[in-house]
Amino acid sequence: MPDKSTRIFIIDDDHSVRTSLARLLGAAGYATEVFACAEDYLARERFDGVACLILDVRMPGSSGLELQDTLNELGSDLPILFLSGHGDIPMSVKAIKGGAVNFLTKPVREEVLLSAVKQALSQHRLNRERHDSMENVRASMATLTSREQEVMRFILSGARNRQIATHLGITEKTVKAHRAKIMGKMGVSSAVELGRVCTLLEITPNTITDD
Amino acid sequence: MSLLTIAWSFCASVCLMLGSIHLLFWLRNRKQPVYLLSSLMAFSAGVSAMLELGLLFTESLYSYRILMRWENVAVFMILVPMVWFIQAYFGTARRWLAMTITLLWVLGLLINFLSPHSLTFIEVSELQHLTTPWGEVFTIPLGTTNPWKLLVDIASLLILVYVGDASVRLWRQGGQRTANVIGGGIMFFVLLAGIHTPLVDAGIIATPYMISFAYLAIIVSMSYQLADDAMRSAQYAQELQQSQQAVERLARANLLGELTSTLAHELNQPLSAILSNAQAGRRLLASKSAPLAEIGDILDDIVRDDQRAADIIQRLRKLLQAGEPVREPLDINAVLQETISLLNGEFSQQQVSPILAFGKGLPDVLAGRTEIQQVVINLISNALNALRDMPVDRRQLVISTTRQHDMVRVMVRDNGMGIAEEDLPRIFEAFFTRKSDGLGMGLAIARRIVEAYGGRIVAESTPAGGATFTVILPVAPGEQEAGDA
Repeated sequence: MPDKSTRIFIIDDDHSVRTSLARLLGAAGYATEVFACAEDYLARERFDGVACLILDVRMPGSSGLELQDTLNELGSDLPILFLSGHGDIPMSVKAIKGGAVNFLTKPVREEVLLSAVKQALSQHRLNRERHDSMENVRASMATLTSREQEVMRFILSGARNRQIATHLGITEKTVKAHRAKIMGKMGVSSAVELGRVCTLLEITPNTITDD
Repeated sequence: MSLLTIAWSFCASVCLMLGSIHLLFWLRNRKQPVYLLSSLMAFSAGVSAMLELGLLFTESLYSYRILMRWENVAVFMILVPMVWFIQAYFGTARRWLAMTITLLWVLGLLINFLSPHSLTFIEVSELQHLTTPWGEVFTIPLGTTNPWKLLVDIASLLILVYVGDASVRLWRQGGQRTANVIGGGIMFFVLLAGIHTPLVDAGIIATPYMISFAYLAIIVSMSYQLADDAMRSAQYAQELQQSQQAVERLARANLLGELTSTLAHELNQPLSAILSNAQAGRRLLASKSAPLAEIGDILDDIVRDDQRAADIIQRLRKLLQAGEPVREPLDINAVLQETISLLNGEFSQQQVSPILAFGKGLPDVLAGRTEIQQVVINLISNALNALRDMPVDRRQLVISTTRQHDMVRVMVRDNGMGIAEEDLPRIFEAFFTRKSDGLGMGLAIARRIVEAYGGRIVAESTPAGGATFTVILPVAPGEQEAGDA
């Protein structure tokens, strides 16, 4: 049964080619969608799940490489598999530099295509997960009050509760309460774990200088 | 019949005949003044021969003077063109010498008419009758030699120096043959005439004047050389034609080479589809409940794509067909359609979608399919080149066909960079190209092909930018009446 949450988009101006690719991938258990040109694909509403793009390099209208540029500008993280009629080296170099995950030569063999698709999808899935966890951390951060954020940056620098209390002119007890709140909201159990999560978001620690 | 009459008449007629031949050469090729000059020389030598014949048999002193005067004019008309012939033909002669000789002779000619009798004699006092060994009686003059004749004797000496100098220089430059035949010939016979004539004038030897024979010999040597030139140039023309054919074959191979990548792409499409379809079918068959309807569709598609690949190969084979082009009635729209589908890969690579505006019910044209395809491929490939620097969304290529009386017009128009005004007249010349890697043969061959079928090819710069190429081909005989809408 095709997995509905993943999708493979096939863009090729040749009807036979795109239909046959869709059939093959369909028979291998993937859900596919075909488009005759880049513009048709761009007109489609954004797909939210894990996906990859199989793209013909040579097409009338906007070419495969141009679509790649457009998608990069739009901030798309969709992995692109390029299909080319002839292994044109400058073209493939350009495609790979533009972030294409693979460059396949037509006619493409089943094993090659399927393993490339599998790799592209798992890469996208991984990207997604990393992206999602970042989003989670960012969302958690947003729930912190400004005081809590301030305290957190001192914690990240490795400051003790007493130092923080002195520095901020509050009681050590209040600092402890802030610390517990922060750990709870960020879903971590130790300062080390907090540090790891925050590195992901590139939050800078705030060191207390002795004055 | 008198032997003298026969000899001089023969000399005159040969001179006149050669003169006519050289004149014909000149009329055919007016850029070659040498033929006009040698023709003038030959005609004058002919006239001179007739005047000499008159001198041989005249009985009155009065007519002798007149004939003598005109004989000098004839000699002038031989020598001056000869000097300028050497100038033009050798390319090594000294111009100032030629001028000096001409000037001396012009002076001599003035004196010829100002002197009481002629340049040769101040006075012809008496006509002497002599007898040839075979018993013919002829006339020679007795009189006082004109001292001004020294002028033209100096001119004769200068001619020797002039021709000798030009011949040596030509010889050094590698023109040994011409230097020998013409230079040597002229020097020998001028020397002969130059020695013989004064001796007759002075009454030292008693023979008729034989100036015309000496110049006949010179003219024959010139004719020999010019005929040789003509034969050589005919041979060169033939060789040129052969190498032109070789270049055309090369250009065609070149064109096909350019097409290879697009053809590879064209063939790859159906092959790719066939492979994916077959692999999908195999997977579907391996599943528990094989969807037979879908497998049927897959097989249909495989058959269709296979046919498509076969068609591409068929078209390529037709284009590659060797041998003499066969003239056949062609449906120009069908030929264009076929050619355009051959170029599909090229269009998609250049991201150009050609606009096709084919006239309906066009009559057939009589031409070779392959050659017409070659012309069309050339025009389209030029247009695609011209569009390369245009933004993709503004690239336009229109290919249209229309009927115009008993002609069919094929037009290929692009809105690319166009043709520079100064290039327009030269664009169909062989080896004319603005492409760094171009042979400059494409359009030259296109024109040769189209003209071979009685047609024309025209290039225009479109005012809005871009270029338009129009091929006009005559309708096949028997088609003129049909569909005259």
